[in-house]
Amino acid sequence: MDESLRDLFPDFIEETADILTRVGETLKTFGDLPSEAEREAAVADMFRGVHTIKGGCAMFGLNELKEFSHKIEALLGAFRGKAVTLTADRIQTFVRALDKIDEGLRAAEAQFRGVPAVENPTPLEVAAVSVEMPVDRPMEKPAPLATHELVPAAQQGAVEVLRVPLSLVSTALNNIWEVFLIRNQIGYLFEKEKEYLKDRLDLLQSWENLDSALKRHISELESAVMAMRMTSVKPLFSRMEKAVRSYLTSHPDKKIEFKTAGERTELDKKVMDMLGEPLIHLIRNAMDHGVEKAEERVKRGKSETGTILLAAEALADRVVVTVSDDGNGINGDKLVQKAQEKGIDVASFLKSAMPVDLIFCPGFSTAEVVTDVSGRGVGMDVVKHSIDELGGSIEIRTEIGKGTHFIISLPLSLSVIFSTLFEVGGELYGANIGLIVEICRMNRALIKKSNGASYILFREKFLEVYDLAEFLGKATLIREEDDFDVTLLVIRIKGEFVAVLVGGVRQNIEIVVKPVPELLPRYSFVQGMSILPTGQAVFILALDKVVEAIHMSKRISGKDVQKREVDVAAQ
Amino acid sequence: MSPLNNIFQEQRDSITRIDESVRTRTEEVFLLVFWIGDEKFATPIEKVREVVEGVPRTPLPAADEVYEGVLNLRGNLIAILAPNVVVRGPVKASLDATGGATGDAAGLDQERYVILENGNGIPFALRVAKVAKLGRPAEQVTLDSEKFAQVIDVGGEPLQLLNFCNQDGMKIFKQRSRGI
Repeated sequence: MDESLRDLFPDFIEETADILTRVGETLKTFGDLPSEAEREAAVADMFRGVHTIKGGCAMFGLNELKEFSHKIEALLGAFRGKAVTLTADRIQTFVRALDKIDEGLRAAEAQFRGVPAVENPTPLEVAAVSVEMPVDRPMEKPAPLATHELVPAAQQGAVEVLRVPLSLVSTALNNIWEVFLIRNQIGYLFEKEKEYLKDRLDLLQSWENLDSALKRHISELESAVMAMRMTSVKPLFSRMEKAVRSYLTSHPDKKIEFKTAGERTELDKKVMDMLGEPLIHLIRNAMDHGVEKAEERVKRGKSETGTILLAAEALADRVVVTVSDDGNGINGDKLVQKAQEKGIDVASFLKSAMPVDLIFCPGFSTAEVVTDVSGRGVGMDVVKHSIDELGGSIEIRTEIGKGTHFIISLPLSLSVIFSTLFEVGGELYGANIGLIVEICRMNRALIKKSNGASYILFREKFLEVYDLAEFLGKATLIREEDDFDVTLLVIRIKGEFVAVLVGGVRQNIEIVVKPVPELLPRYSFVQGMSILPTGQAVFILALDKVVEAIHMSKRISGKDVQKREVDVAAQ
Repeated sequence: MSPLNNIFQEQRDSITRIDESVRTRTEEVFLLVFWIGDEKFATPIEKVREVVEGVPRTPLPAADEVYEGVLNLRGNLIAILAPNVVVRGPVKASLDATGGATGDAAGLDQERYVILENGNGIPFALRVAKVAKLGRPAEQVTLDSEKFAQVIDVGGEPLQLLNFCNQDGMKIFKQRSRGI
């Protein structure tokens, strides 16, 4: 590649990915287009897209891809010239051809970055896709591009788009957050010294007005820059669709319909980038181990074609991504049996998790056959780890013979959150307020112990109590001899309520979540850090992960091995 | 150029080389000497970002002997590594239960940190008892990039010179950073 073009290559890759997504989308909906004029416009748009890709490949010396794109362009030209009709079969051939281009580009990108390609591309000349198609009538020379077709979208009244590197947007956002923190600190200092200005009401009023305006503008600026980082999940979903198509090509004994929903849902670009690998793993597992072979499905009274649904939905400050299949379901008993064979302390595990959650244990697989796609006994723990890294959670709902849902809940963005500040053992910590259902104070004597666990009666139900102080290596707050009020943060995890015991709640505050400094260990239960208006740095805890970590530590220590079957309510 | 001129030129070049060599030998480089407990260490001063005092420390949410917490240094969050683990092995940092240093550090009313950086330019802080600046002739302080620690002679006394840019020396933190 020409050295002078190296800087432009990442933009080319990104732009080409956009074009492939757009053309793929057009192909998908082509059959539903109601009029001939719309179909013609769609073919013309696809032609332009592939033409642009071809030009880019030529510029960057990707000759093989250029030739391949040229063939596709020629065929699209034939459709434009109406020499050939774009039938459903041919649409599928085009879709596969686009996949090949995508595959080739990913390999070129990996080579450019000096990293091994995630997927080994099959050479274009031996690709399963043939770009030779029967011609209905003598193929005319492709119609030349009309000059009006090359007019930039902006001039056609569309939204003008400026591509900027993500790093620049991130820098801008980081600076906004710094300004946000500084404004908080100035506000804190001013509040502290306010009494000295009690005779200067005019000054106080001016300060409050300016501070309020500053806060509003910072918030608007942050929203605008955050919006720049938000991107729809559509390209990600298209990548998954491609993975399904690729799988089906080499697995003729399976019939799978891949469906998507909520493709317009937006996620932070960083979250999206990190979600790709775990998602593709879940989809591959669903294809390989979830959906049965067509013959088997018929025997079970199911339709021979299985379904995999990939859906996204925005809920308040979270985005929920679901991977569902209507296949085998996961057999909990089989998992337990395998786990016991592997020497996992199952009894302890089941105190805090369902049998299906065993698949998240490292190296755990019950796949009867290790395949080229999945079932190597690695992966699901990595999936969970990746989701944890994003500050998200993953839940499994399954029914034997009916299918499985993997429900991933992710933060909409990694940014400003409303946080509850609380004290534990003399230190201040924060937690996302969105996770806290209720904060209550009650007499310590109301906490009951049973079989090593603590419980409180809360709205006529017993909730398990987790002592955060003990977990953090500080003096426990559950002391039999004392009689005093304690503070409990009631949170909901996977539909169940639990209570986290803390020293006391200080305040609710809007904070910027910063990453934990480099060189420090990454704890799954630490969401990040923040700097308070006082200048104090605090850790932001993910309370749901704290509860998970407490269970994990109990399992590791082996202190708690008996399955809890005591009816607490009977105490 | 005539053969005679060539000889003169060679002689001039040779004198210049000797002169440069003498000048290099007499050049002074500066070290930051710091005390961890009763033990004394040094590191090249150009690798020291700054020395700060009285900055509040936030302990890690889970007890870990390798890390002491986080410093908020003008809005930048910096990891504080446990000095006794950084310098490793036989060195005892003599830290009391409250984290205060004893020995030379006893009696200090506020914590003092040296902000350093590792080979990747990532800053970190070490809590130290006291610091001093020391100038030494450059030839005595030839840093061996292959070693994390080496002993140099300072007036007949050994002084441990630490190279925080040495990857092996910092390996322990990489390993521990992978989490529990």
